[in-house]
Amino acid sequence: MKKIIFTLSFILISLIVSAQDDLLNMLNSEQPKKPIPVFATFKATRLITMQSNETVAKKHLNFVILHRFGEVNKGAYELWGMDQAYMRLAFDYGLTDNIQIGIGRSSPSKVYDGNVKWKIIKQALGGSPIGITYYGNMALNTSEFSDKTIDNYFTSRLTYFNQILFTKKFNDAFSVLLAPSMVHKNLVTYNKDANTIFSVGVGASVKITRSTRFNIEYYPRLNGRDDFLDVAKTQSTYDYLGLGFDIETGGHVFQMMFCNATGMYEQAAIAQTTTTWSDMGIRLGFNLSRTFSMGSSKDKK
Amino acid sequence: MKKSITLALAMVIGMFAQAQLFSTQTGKVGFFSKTPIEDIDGTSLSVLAVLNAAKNEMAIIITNTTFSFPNKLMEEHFNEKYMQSDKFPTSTFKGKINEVVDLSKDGEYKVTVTGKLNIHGVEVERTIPGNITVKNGEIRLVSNFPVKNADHKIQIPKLVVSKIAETLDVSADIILLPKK
Repeated sequence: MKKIIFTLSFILISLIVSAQDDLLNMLNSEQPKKPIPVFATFKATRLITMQSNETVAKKHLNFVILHRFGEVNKGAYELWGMDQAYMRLAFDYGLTDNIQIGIGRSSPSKVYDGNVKWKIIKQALGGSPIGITYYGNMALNTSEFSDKTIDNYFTSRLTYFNQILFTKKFNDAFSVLLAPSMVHKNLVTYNKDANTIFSVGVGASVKITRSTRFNIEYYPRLNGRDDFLDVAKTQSTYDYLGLGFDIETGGHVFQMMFCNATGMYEQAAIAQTTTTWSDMGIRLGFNLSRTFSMGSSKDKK
Repeated sequence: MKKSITLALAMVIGMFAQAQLFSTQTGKVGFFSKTPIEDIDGTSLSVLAVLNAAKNEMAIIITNTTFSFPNKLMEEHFNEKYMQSDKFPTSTFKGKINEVVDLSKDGEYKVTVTGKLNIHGVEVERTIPGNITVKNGEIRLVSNFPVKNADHKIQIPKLVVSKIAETLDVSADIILLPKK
């Protein structure tokens, strides 16, 4: 008797189960287990001044205007730094969905730069737990040589930057970045100064609303901290630190920040920052980026 | 005990065998948002679907990150801001055909399907019109229907409210083959 009841109930249960969600459950269990790439680790291709792991998609062009004002501690006479302005224009273009090339021009020292970013490994659900991205930059100072009576070389105008970005999006609201970096300057002020400066950049981003994020980034240097930028030894250098806020409005990302660097590319931000947070030698700044889809209408279909 | 399990298994297997299942992993579902400022369209070509021709029931699952957009920024925003694909990775539909149709015979059938549409974690009871074509052992589902963002609690920020339509036009074209 017991057996029969058991059998009947078993059949009944299997009937109910199969009659209820059978089709959806069946589909769910059959879903191909493909890794799903993580999206939107950061809001823009830059965290603040530092690069993020994000690249511009294939055949998309990103136009960025970067702006930094003077130091806040200059007071009311300089309208807390608003009377000075430094800027960089930058274009980033996606060769593929993983490789981006870019050019830029900064107003301090009239620097032109060319750069490349490559997403080597993408973080994915069911795949790699972290993302690994390479970023490299070469910059050319085109301001006039300060002393024209001596032999000046073209190569002395060049600086280089190499960086590996390790990124991790923990959840919908929190992402971090760790970036071992190397700055190389062909020409330094003193013989004993470091031509190659190492730094480990750290950054984090917290989502506030769906359209806004708070960001922080820091470039502590491992060497070259005692270097001066001028012969008179008045311009000592400091580590770069920035706090920023992203506002995204569809096609535009507007990034506002406080940071201590006028440099808007890495060589300048890491090795040529001459003001410090400790005496409010910080400045207001913003990046305004606009992405254009450059694919032909045929590609869109 | 052993006997009863065998019996139950036999029942279950028997049910599946006579179920006449048709399925695919490459169905196509797209949507279109039209405003005076901007047109937005996304398409997924990896839609999972299964149809039980004996019971006239069907189920559809779309992994939201498989929607592809011509503008990749829109694709990112679709997943990050609107579908919140981290929290709600899939959109699903499960329903039953209202009309009496025999899907074992070739022909074209105009039908309505009533069931539950789950987008953005919000389930809504819908009756969706469509066409079913049975030919050479294939079943093709074609449908166009509107989805209101507000029905599924998809909020559009004020900043972009003029760029995204309140109601999206969804189109599905799914070809199902007999399930092995």
